[in-house]
Amino acid sequence: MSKSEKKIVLKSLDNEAFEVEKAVALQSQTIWVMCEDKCVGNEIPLENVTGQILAKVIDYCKKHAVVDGDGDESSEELKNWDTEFTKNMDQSTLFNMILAANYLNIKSLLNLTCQAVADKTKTIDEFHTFLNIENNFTPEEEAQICQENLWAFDD
Amino acid sequence: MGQKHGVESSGQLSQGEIVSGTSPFDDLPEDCISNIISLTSPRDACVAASVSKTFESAVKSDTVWKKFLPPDYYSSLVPQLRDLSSKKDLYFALCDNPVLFDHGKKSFWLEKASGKRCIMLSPTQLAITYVYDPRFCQWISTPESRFFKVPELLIECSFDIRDVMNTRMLSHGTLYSIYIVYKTSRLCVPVRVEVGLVGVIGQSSPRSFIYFVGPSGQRRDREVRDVTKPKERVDGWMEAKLGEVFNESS
Repeated sequence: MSKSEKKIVLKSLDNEAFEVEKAVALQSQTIWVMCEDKCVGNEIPLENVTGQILAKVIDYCKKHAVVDGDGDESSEELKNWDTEFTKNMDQSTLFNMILAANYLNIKSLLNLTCQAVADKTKTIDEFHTFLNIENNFTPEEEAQICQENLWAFDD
Repeated sequence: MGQKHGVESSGQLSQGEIVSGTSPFDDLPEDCISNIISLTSPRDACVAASVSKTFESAVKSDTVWKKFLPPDYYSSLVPQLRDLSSKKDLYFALCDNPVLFDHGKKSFWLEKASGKRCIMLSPTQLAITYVYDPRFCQWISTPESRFFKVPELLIECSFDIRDVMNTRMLSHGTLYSIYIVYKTSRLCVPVRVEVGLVGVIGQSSPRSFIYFVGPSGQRRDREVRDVTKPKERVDGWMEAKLGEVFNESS
């Protein structure tokens, strides 16, 4: 494989271009399929991901491309890195990371970001405040749902 | 702290690129919401169902309940439950109706809130002293028992109960409590119980006293020292806690 084939250019929704190692980019099943299809050149347009989010996704993939497959110590280190990675992400970044991981089909990143949301939301109030989700049930519907799951609200 | 952060950042959000009155999280594909919910616990999932209509629908998904069910449920455990159409129904069926497996020697169910595996061993599986000696014990079938036969002690005597069990049947990384489940019609004196766990370092033989009383809780003696008090279960049997063990294995 020649040097140029090892690199790949990812282009974000807002036209930001990122040149990355192919091994880094291929952690995305979506990109992998695109490369297999050979219908794209060296530049892959990613229509659903902004440059700001793509940069973070690439950070994640770089870290995981380097360390994957090594010994126990590095997997421990990787876990810590993952924790730090999502620790200070705000709600909108997390949301966009989940969308990006889902679109790019990077399973481990999807799990990581979903886990980060799951960890922050344990009660109805946390769902409503952290995720800022509106309760769109009618009072009757809400009463019925709560009745069905009454046991879960007991201490 | 996480909450506060979220509120602040959604304030910044309105100045940023995403223009939306409601939360972006309600716009996530349902798969993603199900994925998030599957990483919580069965209890949290049921709480999440009352967040919004999207969440209610996401909570019903098989993706969520597949995660909460033990991975091997379909093979040996519950062929009779295979017909249940949704994984959520299967989950709750396994919580509410313990199933027999291993030729009726074990009973299996899930703890509703956590999805942790619980196992009850049949007396036929346990090695109990004198249990096959008709002077001490008779075997009876009773509709009150989930097992085919249970031994009834005919006289008061001290005895040993032993069993070996593969910890892989249990949920890993979980603190288990061990109970003895019984029925009694007599007044009882405190009985000294010693519980030993073979092959577990640092968790040897805690000793305790148990009054093996019935639901009315009558005792012959005055209560002295630390005595474990059995509780009445919803199925009418009594249970007394014998000890705890942390199951690390996976």
